[in-house]
Amino acid sequence: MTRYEPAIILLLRATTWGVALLTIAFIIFVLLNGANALFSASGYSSGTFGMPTDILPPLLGSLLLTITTLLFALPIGIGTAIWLTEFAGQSRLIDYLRLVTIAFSALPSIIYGLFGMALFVLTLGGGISFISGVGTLTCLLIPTIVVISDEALRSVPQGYRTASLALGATRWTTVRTAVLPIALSSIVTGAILGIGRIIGSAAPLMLTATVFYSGTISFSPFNPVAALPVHLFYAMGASDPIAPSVTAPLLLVLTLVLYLVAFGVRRISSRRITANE
Amino acid sequence: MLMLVTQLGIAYMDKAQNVSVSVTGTGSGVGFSALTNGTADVCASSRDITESENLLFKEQSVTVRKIVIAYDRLHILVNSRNKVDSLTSQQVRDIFTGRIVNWKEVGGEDLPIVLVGRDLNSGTASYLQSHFLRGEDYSPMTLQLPTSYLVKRVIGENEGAIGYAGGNPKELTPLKEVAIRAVQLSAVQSPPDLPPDPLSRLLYLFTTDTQSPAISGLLSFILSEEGQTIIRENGFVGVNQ
Amino acid sequence: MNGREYSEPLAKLTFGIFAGLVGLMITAMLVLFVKESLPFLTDSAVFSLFDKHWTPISTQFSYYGILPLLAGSVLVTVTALLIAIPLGLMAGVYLAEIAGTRERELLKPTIELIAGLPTVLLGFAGFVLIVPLVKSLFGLSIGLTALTGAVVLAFMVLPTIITISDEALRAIPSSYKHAGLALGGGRLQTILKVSIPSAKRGILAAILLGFSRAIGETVIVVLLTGNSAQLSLHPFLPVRTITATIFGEIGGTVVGTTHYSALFTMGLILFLLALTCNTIAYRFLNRTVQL
Repeated sequence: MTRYEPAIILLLRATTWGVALLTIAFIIFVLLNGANALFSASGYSSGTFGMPTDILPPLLGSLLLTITTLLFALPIGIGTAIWLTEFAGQSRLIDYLRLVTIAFSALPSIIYGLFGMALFVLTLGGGISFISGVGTLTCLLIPTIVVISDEALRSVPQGYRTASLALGATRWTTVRTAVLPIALSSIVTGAILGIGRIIGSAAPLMLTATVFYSGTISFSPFNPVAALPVHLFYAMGASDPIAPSVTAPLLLVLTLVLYLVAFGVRRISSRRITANE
Repeated sequence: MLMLVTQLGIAYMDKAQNVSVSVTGTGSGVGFSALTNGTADVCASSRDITESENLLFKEQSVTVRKIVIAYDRLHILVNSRNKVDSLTSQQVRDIFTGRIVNWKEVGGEDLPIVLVGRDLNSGTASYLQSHFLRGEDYSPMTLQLPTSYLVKRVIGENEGAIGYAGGNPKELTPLKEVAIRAVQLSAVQSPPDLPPDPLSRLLYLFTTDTQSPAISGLLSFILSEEGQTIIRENGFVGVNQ
Repeated sequence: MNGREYSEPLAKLTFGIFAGLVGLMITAMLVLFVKESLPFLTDSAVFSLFDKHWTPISTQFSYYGILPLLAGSVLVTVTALLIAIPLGLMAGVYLAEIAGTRERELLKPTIELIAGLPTVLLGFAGFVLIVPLVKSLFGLSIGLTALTGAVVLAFMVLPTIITISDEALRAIPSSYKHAGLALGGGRLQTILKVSIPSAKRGILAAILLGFSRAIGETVIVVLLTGNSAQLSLHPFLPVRTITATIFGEIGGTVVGTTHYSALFTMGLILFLLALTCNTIAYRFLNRTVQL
């Protein structure tokens, strides 16, 4: 066994590096296609024969959908986590609730898409619209936010809480002043990664909020919207020339930026915590 | 009809100025369902409405209006490198139901046949099914793609592929041609119960809304000279001719 | 003083309401799927579930045979796992046991990045790169096959397997490893005979979560597997998965019809399957890794 050890270790090393390098290669491939577009004339023009190749509606749509979803999902998700860790006490029931929530956070996004379609689009009569999309994405994001906030809160050492309570503070004040600030950076990191998931989801939006082409003149939450990943998907089934050169790289860049920000936040906060201790 | 309807919608919006148009798809079946579910105002279809679809509207006590907007010719398409030039309707039927699996059986090279079709919602697929396959089901090996664009693209990239689409056969987009070719259908042994030209069909719009000015404006625009020009540019035949 | 008296119960109430909303949502999801599936389950068409054909819109008889779709999903998922599990475990072992700190700091985030990539982006790259590759590599008549989808799915699922097995291995008390080394085993022997068996649960959890992610993936399979609803387990043929069927056909159904309900039934099956896998996996992880 020991004779083959260097060879096996080399194999393991090669595999791991291989995966990492494959990822980098993928990123470069997509970005290169985009670089092509920047240097050629076609770029961002509105396309020929009025084809829906304008990148602005999908970009704005994605941003608006994401921000609005966060407005709902963050308070509800973090609030639920606070309730679970700080107010609900310890019991098997609470543990089961945690387990269920974390299991739900990893469900396929098409399940949420179907749910959102049946609930918001059809039953509540919202139709294919921005609000149906926000509703669906909120449902999709909430379990993830609960899980990461819960983890973040639970990793705050109990000492902080007992000290604060011993000083006479109420539970809520304790949470607000002693626990949350410490957990905040982890929550932010996790939230950013959650954003990445919803910015990239195509299937749920295609069932509830997006259309192939939307020429709405004024924005209204009851109108359909466009979104980047959906635009890419449609572009592959139709004749959209800017898909490889604009939509895909843009989507990738957005994802990378989010990822880097999350990474940066995590880095900074871990340094701060180690510095404090 | 996705591209066609999108262009018509955009042109109408330019003209009408205060109407917003959204287009989605794909497939005639999706259109009818959206109309029934209330998530769309108008639907485009490359086939007529079916009994069961009509029934669903009747159950809601809703009248559906049918408008013919264009004529079209359906083409059986093969890769341009395929030697086979013409097929009988019986052969087309056998190929798409999976009874013939190799091109050599119809006079071509020894190459497996790849069936490229549309998904269940496609009006084009249903039309071909009722007019050529006489109601038989497609072979389960048929690839089910969402749009005609993809069908043409896949056929153009695969030598053994065969499929179907309406509009201009060679055009992938107004700018790009693809390496495909329409197969001649020989009238030999054409069964008596097939219509004289099984490949010609009508393109429709259906709507449940008969009141609003926006919709009637859209419909008259499409039937007007401007609308019909766009229809012709997409490779279809206008109704005014 | 009054404000402080109210803020505590108010906070507890608000957060409790939020938690209630989440509980309500979870319950509503389960209830809705069951409710929408009932028309199909109580219809005579349900007996065609075990049929070999999925032809819901047929001029003859509508068959709702789930077998071709199930076979498609299973084929694509299992093939993907056959690729991803060995590679993933090898990388997980390397990261946890062999890689140095700096190497780890470089490799782990890069690999974790894959999990954050939009699947439509992966599908797009797969369509442009992998489809022609598979076609020419294996001399097939068309590159849209189960294998093509499986390859891209494997890539998508790798970070899950790698990260979780890495964490599971690291959670093993170092005393176990030291004991193994002290007994004279080399580094690899210790890994093989001590670390991996001890991390068994975590590794299994990683595989379960990988399975759950892969079988629930929609966009990649829709774009890459060709979507032909034939019953076969041959990786070089086009297939249709459960997710692709739901996604592709739901738009063409009217609420309350048998077809609509049949699609929700399949969604329910997927729902319960993924939920079960996830629950078991996270249960395992609770006992091995500090979650």
